[in-house]
Amino acid sequence: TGIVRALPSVRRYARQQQVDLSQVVATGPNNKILKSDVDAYLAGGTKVTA
Amino acid sequence: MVVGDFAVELDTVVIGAGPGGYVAAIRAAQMGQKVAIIEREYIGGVCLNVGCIPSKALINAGHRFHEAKHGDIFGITSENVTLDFSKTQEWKDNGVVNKLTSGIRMLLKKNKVEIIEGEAFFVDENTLRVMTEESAQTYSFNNAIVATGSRPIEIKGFKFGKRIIDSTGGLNLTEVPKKLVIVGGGVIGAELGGAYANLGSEVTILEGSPQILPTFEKDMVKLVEKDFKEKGITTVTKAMAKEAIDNGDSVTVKYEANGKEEAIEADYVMVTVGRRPNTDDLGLEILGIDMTDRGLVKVDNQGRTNVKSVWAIGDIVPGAALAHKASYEAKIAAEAISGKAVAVDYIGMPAVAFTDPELATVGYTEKEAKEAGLDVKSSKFSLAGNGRAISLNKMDGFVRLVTTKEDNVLVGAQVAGVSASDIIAELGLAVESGMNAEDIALTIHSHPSLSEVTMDAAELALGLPIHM
Repeated sequence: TGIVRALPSVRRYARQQQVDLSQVVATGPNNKILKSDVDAYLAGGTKVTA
Repeated sequence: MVVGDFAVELDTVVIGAGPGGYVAAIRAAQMGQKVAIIEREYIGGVCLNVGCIPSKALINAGHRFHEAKHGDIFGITSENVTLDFSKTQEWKDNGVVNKLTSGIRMLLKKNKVEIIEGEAFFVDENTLRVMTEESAQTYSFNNAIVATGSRPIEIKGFKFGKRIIDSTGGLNLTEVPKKLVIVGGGVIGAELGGAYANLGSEVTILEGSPQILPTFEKDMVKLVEKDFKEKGITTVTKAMAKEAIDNGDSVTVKYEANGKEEAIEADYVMVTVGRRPNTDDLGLEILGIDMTDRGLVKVDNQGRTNVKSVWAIGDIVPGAALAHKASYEAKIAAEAISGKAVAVDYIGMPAVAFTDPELATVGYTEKEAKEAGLDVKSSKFSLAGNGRAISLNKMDGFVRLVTTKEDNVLVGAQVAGVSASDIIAELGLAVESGMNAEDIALTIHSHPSLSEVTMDAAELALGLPIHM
């Protein structure tokens, strides 16, 4: 599905870090993106490959 | 204030002090901006003065009056229940509206927002001219947030006057009409129609579309229609309002329905067919602000117009004309001006009708979810199975969850019933947070409460309903 699943605060955090949530690997339950997932993406570890 | 040609310099000027404007002003001030807010009519805007708040006050008074006369089922009977409507209005105006608007004034002052009561015109993209009663003053600004709101639409043949009134007139009547005709059965018309019926009016609602409350689903609206029928409200759908004739001490309303011309005589006719944005007389055209063909200001996801220093929020931008939407956009715009990386980002915007029963919706309906390409199902749980609803003797209604088939994530919810306006908040949080039915079902809900129906509906979505 096309729904981004993340808490509102995580969505805002990602925006502040200029992270596109569709590029972040979700590790939370039900495919939810956690704040730590955004941090992991920023650390360079978890790029989504198309 | 000193009259002069020198410009007062501001970081941010907000035009309009409604739920969008005052929130924008306060948030901008919290961010450290030097802020002034300009209001031409009333602090608190439409919502607090002639909208959300006074209408809820009258709706409450209507409930009190109606219940005082209909307590037989509880063994309560009362004789000679009387209504002093001038006292009702006095309470609404002073006990409710003035209390809130003076609170807003205080909040603005506390946040050091300068309040300017006057009319604003753009001179150029960094200058405003404000006409107050006694003077004119020029303000220069780095950023302006336009939050001028909307006003009632006047339709052909229904020129507003003493007996042909808009929603503001409908809220400020000095007497309960014996007969009231309402043109437009949307949220405003249905809410005030219900309120005046509770207060004793004989109400007729003329609606152009096939159902009243067209923004809500049929099974929700049916419950309101049932209540209307019980209260003796006449609803004419697919009706075309033609003309209102003021007879001095009454008004004749002509309309067409089922191919026939009809006429009703009433004390008042209230026209609530929609609202138009207040984007004229501001000088927006001087700035070359891009507008839609409906007269709404085009903005980006931060509320910025095509002119870099000018922002717009609330009823003058696209989207639902709701107070909480305006306030939400206000905070985004004010924070964006301070350089915060924010944007309008919501998955569910709640919408409520304060009818009997109340209707509330957030996120997708099942139909909308399917149109968006989602594979979803609905789980609908009736208030008839809820102990609290039974103890309140308000069993009409339901909570419906729209969840993905794959993993039961909540993408929308609809609530009809007593306190739906409050029950929707939990579902809004769940939609916004991407929670699933299991998250809701595993959350302990207090017993007995109406909120338990949300838990029951979630258990139903999981295939394990306890109470049905």
